[in-house]
This record gives sequence, structure tokens and C-alpha cells, in this order.
Amino acid sequence: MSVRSLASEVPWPPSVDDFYLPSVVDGAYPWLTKVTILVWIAAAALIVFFLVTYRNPQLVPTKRQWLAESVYGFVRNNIAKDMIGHEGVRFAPYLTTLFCFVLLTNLFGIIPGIQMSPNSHIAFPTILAVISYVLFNYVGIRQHGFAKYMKASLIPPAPWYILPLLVPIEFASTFLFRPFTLAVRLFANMFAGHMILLVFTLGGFVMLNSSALLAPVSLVSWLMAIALTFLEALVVILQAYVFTVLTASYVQGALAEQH
Amino acid sequence: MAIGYLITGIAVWGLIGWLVDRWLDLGGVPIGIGAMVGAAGGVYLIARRLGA
Repeated sequence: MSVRSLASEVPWPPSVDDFYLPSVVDGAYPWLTKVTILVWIAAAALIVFFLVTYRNPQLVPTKRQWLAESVYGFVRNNIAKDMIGHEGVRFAPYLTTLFCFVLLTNLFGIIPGIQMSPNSHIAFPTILAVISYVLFNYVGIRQHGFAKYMKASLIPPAPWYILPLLVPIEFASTFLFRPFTLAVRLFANMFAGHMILLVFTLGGFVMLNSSALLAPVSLVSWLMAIALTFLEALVVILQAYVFTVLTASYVQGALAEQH
Repeated sequence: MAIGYLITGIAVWGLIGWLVDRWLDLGGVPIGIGAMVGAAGGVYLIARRLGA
């Protein structure tokens, strides 16, 4: 009976409002929500993790050191060096931080009891995308100088009479759509993931409450929610990887002599 | 990357076509022309930038 009374209070259907959580302190500090606290926790956890694991490093790595070194080694060798080449090592620290931060904040979306990813609010992916945007443009301008960098990014190797057609496309794809798609890809994946879990979890309660015929189906709905949580685990890792790989690929493009 | 160029081409020149259409009021024809020109430009860019 208690489950049924809970079901009558379930907000249905799930909506965008479900993402705007109330302040933790009643009536005060509207910015102090679960989401902002999770971001602080993620930042703090990463700082503590790398400080603790790298404290007193040994030539033969300890277990903790091995853990941190495999994360760093993965990003350094499989993303930074693979995408950017020899020079990629310079960007490995940033890419590792980015990968870990996105991965951890994404994971909050499926950890039972938390189940809210800060990245399902577009503000956080936007800031991350802006950082990557500033980074790859800065790197390109520093490498080639402003004029040469702009020439390399905007003017493709083509006869002069098609250039008026191509330059606007190049400009939009490099300077307008890159940060936009970077942010939206991560945001939309995390938003949709949270929404799907809401539909199946809350939908179970709604069906339980509706009729005797539908009540048993709620079990199926909850099983689906669990199965989709595992699917989300895949998306979480993949999106963190994709965000990092694309940032590395943009840096590579900015550094390259000839596009 | 390749799909990005194609979509960007269609979007950019479709937008320019839309602006021309707003300006001269040609009943949407410039949007279609723009989108096709943009798709062609996108394909050309893919071949030049990402091809051999």
C-alpha cells in the first residue's frame, strides 16, 4: 500500500522541470543544488585522487600509482599521441583532466542514489567546449601566427573561383559548429539518458497505480530501467572518450602545417 | 567530420538562400538552390580536405 501511495505522488509525465532541482537549503541559495554540489565533488575527487596516487611515486609503481598511471597512460598514448602525434604529449595533462572530469560527472548519472549528471545541464558541457575551443584556436595562432592560422583553417586547396562557396562553409564548420556540436553532443546524450531512466522508473509506478491488468507490467518496466542503466554505462564512457578525442583532433588540426 | 562538412554546407548556404528569399520574396526557391549548392560545396570540401 505504501508503494501505491508513493505512486500517486509520482510526477508524470517526466519533463524538463525534473532537471531543475530545488536548492539544498530551503528557500536560500538557488545555485546550491545537487548538480552544483556534484560538480564540486567531481573536481575535489579528481584532485584528491591524483594527489594521493602520485604521492611518493616509486620506480616500480605501487597499486595506487598504477591506477593513476594507467588512466594517464591511456589518454596520453591512445588519444594524445594517436591523434596529435609526437607533440601530443604536451596536451596529455589537459586531455586526461578533461577525460576524467567528463567521465566522472557522466557517471553520476547512473550511480544509484545520485542518478543526476551535471552534464545533462547544457551549461557544463558548454563551459568544457568553450575551454577546448579557446585551447585549439590559441594553439593554432601561437603555432602559425594569426594570419597564417586563419588562412590554413579558412582557405582549402581549391581553385580561386570556388573559394567564395567554400570559405563560408569552412568558417561555419570550424569556428561556429565545432563548439556547438561538442557541447550539444555531450548534453543531449546525458539528458536523453536521464529522461529514459525517468520514463521507465516512474512509468513503473504509474502502471502499478493504474489498473490490475497493468500493475504486473511495472515489473518489466523496472527491469528495463536496470537494463538501460547498463546501456547508459556504455554511453557514459563513450561520450567522455568522444569529447576528449574530438578536442585532440581539433588541436591536431590547428597544429598541422597543411590541412 | 565528413558528415559535418556536408551538413554545414547545406546549413550555411541554405541559410544564405533563405536570406535571399526573405529579401527578394521568391517563394522559397533560393533556399532549395542554396541547400543544393551547399551540399555540393560540402562534398567538394570532403574530397579536398579529407580525401587522398
